[in-house]
Amino acid sequence: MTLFKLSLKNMHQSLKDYAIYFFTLILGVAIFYIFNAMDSQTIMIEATSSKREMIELTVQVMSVLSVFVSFVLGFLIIYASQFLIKRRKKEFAIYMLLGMSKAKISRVLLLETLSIGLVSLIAGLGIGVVLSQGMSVVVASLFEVPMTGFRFVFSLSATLKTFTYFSIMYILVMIFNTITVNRCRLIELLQARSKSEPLKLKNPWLCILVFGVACILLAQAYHQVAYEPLAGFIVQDIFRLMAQGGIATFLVFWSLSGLILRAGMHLKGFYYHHLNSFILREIDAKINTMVFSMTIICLMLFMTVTVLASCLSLKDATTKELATYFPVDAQLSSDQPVARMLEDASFDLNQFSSYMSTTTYYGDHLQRRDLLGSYASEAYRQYTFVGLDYSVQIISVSDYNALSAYFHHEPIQLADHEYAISCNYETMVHFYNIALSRGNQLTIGKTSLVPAYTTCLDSFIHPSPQTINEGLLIVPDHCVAELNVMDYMLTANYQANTDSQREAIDQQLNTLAHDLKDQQIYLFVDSKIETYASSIGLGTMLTFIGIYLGIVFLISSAAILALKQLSDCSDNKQRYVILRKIGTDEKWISRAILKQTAIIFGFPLLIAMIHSYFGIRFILRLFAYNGQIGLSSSIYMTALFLIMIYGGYFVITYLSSRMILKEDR
Amino acid sequence: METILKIAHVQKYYGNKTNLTKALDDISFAVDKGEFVAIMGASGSGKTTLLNVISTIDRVTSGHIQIGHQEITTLKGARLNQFRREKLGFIFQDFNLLDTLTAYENIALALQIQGMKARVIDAKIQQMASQLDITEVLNKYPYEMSGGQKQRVASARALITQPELVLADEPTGALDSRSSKYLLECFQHLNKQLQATILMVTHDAFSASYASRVLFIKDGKLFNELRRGEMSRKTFFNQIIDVVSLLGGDANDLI
Repeated sequence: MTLFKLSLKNMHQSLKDYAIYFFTLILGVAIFYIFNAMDSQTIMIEATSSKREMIELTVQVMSVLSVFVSFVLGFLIIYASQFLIKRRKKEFAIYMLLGMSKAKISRVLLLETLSIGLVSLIAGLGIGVVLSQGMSVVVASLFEVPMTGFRFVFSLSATLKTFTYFSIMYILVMIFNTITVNRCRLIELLQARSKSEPLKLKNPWLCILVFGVACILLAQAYHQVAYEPLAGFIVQDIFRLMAQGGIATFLVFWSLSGLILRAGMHLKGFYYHHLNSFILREIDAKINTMVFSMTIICLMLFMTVTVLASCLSLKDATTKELATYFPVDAQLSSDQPVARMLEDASFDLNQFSSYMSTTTYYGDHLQRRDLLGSYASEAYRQYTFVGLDYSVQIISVSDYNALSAYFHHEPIQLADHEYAISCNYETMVHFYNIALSRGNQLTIGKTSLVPAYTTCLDSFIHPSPQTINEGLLIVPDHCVAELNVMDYMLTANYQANTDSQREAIDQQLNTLAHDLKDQQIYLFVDSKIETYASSIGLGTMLTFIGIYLGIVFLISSAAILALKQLSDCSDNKQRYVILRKIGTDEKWISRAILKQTAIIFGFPLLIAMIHSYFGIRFILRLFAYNGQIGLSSSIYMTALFLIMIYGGYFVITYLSSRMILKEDR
Repeated sequence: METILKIAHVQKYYGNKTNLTKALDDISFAVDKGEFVAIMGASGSGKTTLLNVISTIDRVTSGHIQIGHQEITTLKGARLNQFRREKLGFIFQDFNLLDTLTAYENIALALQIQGMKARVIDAKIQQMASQLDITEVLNKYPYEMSGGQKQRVASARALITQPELVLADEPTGALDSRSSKYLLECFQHLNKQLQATILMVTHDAFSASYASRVLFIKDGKLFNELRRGEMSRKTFFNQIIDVVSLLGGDANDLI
């Protein structure tokens, strides 16, 4: 028999073991191709130049992410192949006993990897090419642009890229396999039969102690990311919290693997019911031997859910919050009174259904440090980016109240010696509230002012898709006489019913601003329609990032779990033979397998879900989307992905486990 | 005496028309309640096939097997499993204990799969354990026990459900002579105390001499039968050896 035939036969033999591996490879190749072929898919899309730019940026981000993704997939493939190779030690031993040299065995493995690699690449690319045809539809609908018609697209560059990246991975696999085979000693190979390790029950008190420590670590991290002010948060803190969370997760798995069994054994009615004692022992043994991989899997699931859900909800938020934080059609600002400027340029102000002219000011020596008063240095220590020497934007109370009507805020009353701060950026709100509650005094000209409220007003005067009002000082009308003008603003709603009419007015204003620029006059136009368009671009990019990373993480974690579960099944087949011999019903055995698989897949997912709840909160806070944003739809989407990929792996694992453990007759 | 096991004209053929092996060739015998029967025969004589068809692991080609009043050759699927776990107890050469469970849990499992409530399980196990002298090892795992202890735990698992018939397949095959002797004495004791009906397959004359009756099988047929009666074990042993030499078995295989 030639070597090639031998290796082909081998693969066929271990098809059950290799099925999941093979499936994962094909999926990985397909995903990699789809996301790298995105640029060629966009040729059939008709997009405005600003959207086209956004799409190109997205494509670039995808290709950068692909490098990271290839590392994750590479790690997964090497891990999985090593795992499978180690399970075949007996087979190698037989070859060696028959006089085959290690070099020859390595060559058999080389041929195997080569054929698996080639087949998976071809199959994966085939699936990828087919599925990527749908990608253009997805891109078009997410960017809200029309399609010019359907064309079959094949991206040669993406194909070559996929081919190169995966070839490197397969070469690495071959190198690792050769090393593994060369390290083998015949005596070790023959004794490689899985000996059941002595099962040592962990000391329950130690477990409880460790579990307590893990809970405290987690609670502290959760609290910090989700409830404490983000003030003073620096990148190192994120790494520290990630490390803290990772260690705590490890400890949770370590301690629970000991405690679950203990707790179960104490509930005698439960433990000695049907196959419960057997199932609990199996699960305990599994978790005990894979505390570390469970931790990694849990963290990957956590990343998946957090990245997917927050990317999707950020997209949602960017579009939904527009309605709240951009309630007007446009705001124009300039260093000259805007209404007169427009009239001079013969712009018909009747195109506005209503408009409001307001003015903001700044004081010569009034800086943010003055608003923070005695708390300034402490605030700086907590949050380096607090910007103590920024000029403070000031508005008179009557202008503020006039704008309130546009922005749906409560109007306020200020006495002659009182001031208020409007702010909705969470970190700064926290600082100002402390200063305000301390009764921080301000001096404008000769007037001394005290706070009218002990907290910030949750409001804004510049519409924006996010809550980024970092602090606006509201003073009594008589104070502004002593201040310098910062901006003249005109806030307007258009005399328009449709978006295209609105776009027409935007167009006029933009042309006007462009013409004025030539005369060294600056007019800034902030329009709802344009903000909306760029928000969509950003949101869509986030969606793609979320889906790409999410799928890859999900595949990786599910594949590791599946491999572990399946190899356990073949190792422990004898146990099920015994169960059958003493007369256990087939139904119960199936149920026992289902319960085990469900718990092995569910346990890390459960912990990951708890992590994710706080992780998502953190990300949303970081991006200054506080308040109630509609997480629900993104949660559904995330759940859909989880069910499709993780659930798919779960079902395949369960069915293959049953097949492996089926009675041979 | 009530008949527990009745085997009538059982045949078991392997292979096809051109190459037929008669593993069991028209065997008939009966076992009464409370009997301790040993089945002897050389390798390939058909004794394991006989045990397999009685234990419902394998099917007969023709003939009938009754256990209690149940005809078992027609049982199928879930009812077969139910019959196996309620009416039969198994003791295997390689113990077949679950290595992840303690001795106690292994024994309990036999009751659990019958759907027995947890609170009645404990008393039963304690009682059975003291009969088989395994109380000290109840909380140990199989890898912490000696072969003899493992086999006694396995026996406890087989007997705790009070099966109508206990089937033992070379129970002493993996044990040293001291443990074998002790195990067989336990069998004798259980047979007398609990009126347990035991059917033991063995190729070892020493083991067989503990039984009350020995059946000899050769080429799938019943060859001879010895009853112990009031004989001493030693005399019975010598009689068995005589039959074995008649059978033409290898003497090395026997002692």
